[in-house]
Amino acid sequence: MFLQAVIIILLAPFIQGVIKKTKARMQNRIGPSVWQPYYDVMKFMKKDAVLSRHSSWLSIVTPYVVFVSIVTAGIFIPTYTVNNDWHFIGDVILVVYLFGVARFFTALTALDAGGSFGGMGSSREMALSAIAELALLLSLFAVCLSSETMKLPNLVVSLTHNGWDWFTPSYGLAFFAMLIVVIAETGRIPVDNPDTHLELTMVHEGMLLEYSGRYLGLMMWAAQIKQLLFLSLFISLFFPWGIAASGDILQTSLSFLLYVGKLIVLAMLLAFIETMYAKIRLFKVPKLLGASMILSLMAILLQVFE
Amino acid sequence: MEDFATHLFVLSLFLFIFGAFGALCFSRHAKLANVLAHCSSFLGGLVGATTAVLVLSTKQSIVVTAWVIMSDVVLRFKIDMLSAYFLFVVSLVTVAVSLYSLGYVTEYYGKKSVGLLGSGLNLFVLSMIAVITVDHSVSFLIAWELMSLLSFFLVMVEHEKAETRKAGYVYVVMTHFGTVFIILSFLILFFFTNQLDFSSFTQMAAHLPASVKNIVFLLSFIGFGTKAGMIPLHVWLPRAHPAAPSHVSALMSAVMIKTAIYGLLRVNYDFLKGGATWWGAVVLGIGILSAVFGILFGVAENDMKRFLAFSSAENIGIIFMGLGASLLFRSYHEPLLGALALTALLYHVLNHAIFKGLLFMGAGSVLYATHTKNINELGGLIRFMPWTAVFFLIGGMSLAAFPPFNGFMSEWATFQSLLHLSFSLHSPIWKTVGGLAAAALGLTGALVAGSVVKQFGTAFLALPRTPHAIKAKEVPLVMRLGMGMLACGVVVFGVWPGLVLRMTNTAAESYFHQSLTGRAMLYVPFHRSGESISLGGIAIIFFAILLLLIAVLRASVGKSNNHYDETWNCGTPLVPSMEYTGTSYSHPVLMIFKRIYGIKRKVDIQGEYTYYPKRIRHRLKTEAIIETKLYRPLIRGTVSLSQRLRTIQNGNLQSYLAYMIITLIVLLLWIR
Repeated sequence: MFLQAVIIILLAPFIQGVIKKTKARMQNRIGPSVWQPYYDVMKFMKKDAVLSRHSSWLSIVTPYVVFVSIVTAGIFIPTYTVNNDWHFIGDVILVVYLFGVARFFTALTALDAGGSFGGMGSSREMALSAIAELALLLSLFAVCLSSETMKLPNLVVSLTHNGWDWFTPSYGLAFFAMLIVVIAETGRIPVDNPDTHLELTMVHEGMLLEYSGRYLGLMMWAAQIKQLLFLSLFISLFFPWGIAASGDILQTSLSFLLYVGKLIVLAMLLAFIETMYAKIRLFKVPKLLGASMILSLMAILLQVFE
Repeated sequence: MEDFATHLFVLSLFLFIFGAFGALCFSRHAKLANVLAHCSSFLGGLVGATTAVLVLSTKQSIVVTAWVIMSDVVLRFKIDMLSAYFLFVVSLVTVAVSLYSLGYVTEYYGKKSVGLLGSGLNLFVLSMIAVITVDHSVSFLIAWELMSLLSFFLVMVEHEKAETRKAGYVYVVMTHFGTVFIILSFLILFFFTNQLDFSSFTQMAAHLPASVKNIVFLLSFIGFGTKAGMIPLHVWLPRAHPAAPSHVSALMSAVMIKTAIYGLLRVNYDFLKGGATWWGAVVLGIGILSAVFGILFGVAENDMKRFLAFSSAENIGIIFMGLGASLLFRSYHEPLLGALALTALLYHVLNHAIFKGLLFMGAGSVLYATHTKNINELGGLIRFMPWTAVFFLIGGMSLAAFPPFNGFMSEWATFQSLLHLSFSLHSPIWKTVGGLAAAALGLTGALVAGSVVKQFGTAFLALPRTPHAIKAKEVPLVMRLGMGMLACGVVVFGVWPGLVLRMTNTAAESYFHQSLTGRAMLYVPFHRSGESISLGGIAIIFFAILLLLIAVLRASVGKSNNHYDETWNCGTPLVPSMEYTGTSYSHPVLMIFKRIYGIKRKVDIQGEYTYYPKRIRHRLKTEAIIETKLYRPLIRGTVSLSQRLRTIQNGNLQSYLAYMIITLIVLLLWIR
């Protein structure tokens, strides 16, 4: 269990690096090395922090709570192995709510310093997250309905066994529904622009404005881990092939390599989408997520009335 | 043991009566009346809770005959498993609220009669205990009416305010609207059983025709639903709860609306023994409606107590979702799943009582310290009232169903119940509905999280906006103790579900003859499908990772060097008016759900030129859709109907005499 926690913590900046590099190459830039996010995190960890005089203890506690609750959620998402030992503790609902805890504290501390940028980001984040959570649960449900469980490992096992193939219309619809949710939840274009904090575009970055030093480092790292986890969730639901079911070392390491490969492909896909599209207006985002919900609903109906 | 429990129960009743009369007798001495009233309700609550735990652990119901008025008319208390569970909920919250009231009513010294207030509180609790324990429909209705009237008086404490009088008026009308339906449903049961006590209702359940069952179900659902505050019959809730003194609103919102849940369970599970499939569908549907609309209206509120009241409507919706699922499982003969759904809803009843009590007390503390409950006039309270802030945060996180607090535990169980509608029932409709209902529950969770951030963030964080907020001081120790008690409950009932499950199991067993398997001390197993959860485990993992993280950081780069400076504000000095207000915070949600709200928006621009206004007033009315589409026509209809009827009551003595003579003649003819 702790091995998985360490792996997701260490792997997350790499995936961020891959996305950035791919994006840069697609825009005819050379771009920073894929290892750059690691250097950034290291740098932030070593720096002194400047905090607002008006902020309370929440500002100091929040980065730790956010980081830890996201890592805790990560334990319950299958990555390269279907490890069933710890899964009596939680299921996918818990994962959704642990992400909720992280978001709650981030949004709360955004208000702590009293600047209006934080409030803006926080208010937008909480409004969008309500719709995003609805879309996420619906698309999860569309996939979970066939195997009748909300436990991710059981779900992955049944997905690999049940011959769920790509050509089932319902599965395909659920795929697109989930893809939209993944984009929204990782805060990427067209929902949110992770690279700027201008008033017009900012959602997540707006909330981090008052952070610096180690606290900023932790928050950014946590965001990268969350991104990795959403990609992992996506992989487990739609490309679980080759995931190791036993503790066999050879099989596990093979499965690990396969997992990293899938992550890189998916990261490139995200970068591709991000290059192709422009950020859309804030109030158009609910429509995008609404499209995801309709897709999920159709997926559910197709399965139910088959 | 049984005798002992009986004595304890009687003792708790006497303690409440003593508190009521003692406070009245010494109402001249505010301090003494305060101590007498609230100490005895504190003790009464403790003793009552002990009784409940005794009954639930020995699984033997107790009967107390209090007063034989006539051979048929007997005031009798009967505590079976369901009553005991609700007795536990009521008593537990009463204990904490009494402690809190000791400090809170000092606010009323010299302004109001503390003796009356204290004795009202004691009698109110007593009437609630009577509602959930009597076993005769007439005494139930009397207790129900007493509960309504006493809470009405308590709402009207600050009757000099026009707003309060209006709230009280709406409350008294709505509560009697509900009572009419309850009386009707009992009357119909009476016609078929010729008996008025609950046990004969229960015995006759099997012989009732289906159509009668349906009517009784609908009538009782409307009646009790009004008291519970389900949407669209919730209109009294956001008016009455903020108008009442905070310790009273804590009791009303945390406990009183739960007596309606008790009534519904009693009618549906005891008197009717479950029924048609559509019952479950109706309850589930109204539950979803209440949950989603309740919190959508709540998001828009800038008044802390109004927000909490709307969120009560939302939580009643969640409880109804559990009830709907349970009724559905029952009608499909899935006893284990039905028992689980019933457990989920009972668990949520307790959890909501605890965190809503806590939050109302928190809002009351803010009111006590700053004399305002409008969050736009507050800010920065976390520095002046650190304890209240922490308690409010804990309560708010539980309200938003975040692990590891108790709100999550019961919401998770409700989630599972809804999802198993689709996993276990082999009907395409329920498969779809189960998933959609679960998704709706997720939506409400996220919206609650947003509105808690709004309420807590605007009131407690950043810079104080007005002098009210700057002058705020931490509340007295007893008030903090009251809040602290419930805050402990929030944590304990979350990470240690075994404690509650033992009690809910006993109650659920008596209806479904099924109990949860496994030792549910640290984790909750759900059904044979292998769904389970352990918040204790989560808490342990969380803290393990946290300690590891801190240790690694300390070892590799040392402690963080913090400097403090001004918030960056584009180079200009930071003033409180630049902060995001509650109104601006909820604006995106209002815009997204514009259609659902049916928002009425009014912008007044004052000043000579519209381009250079001196003042802009911006008003939003969010509940417009329910008021214009449902209540306005209803009120108009009632008024025109009563105007027609007024021709009979014309104030003319001669015509009244004419009525009498006509009646007399008709009667004489009838008898002959």
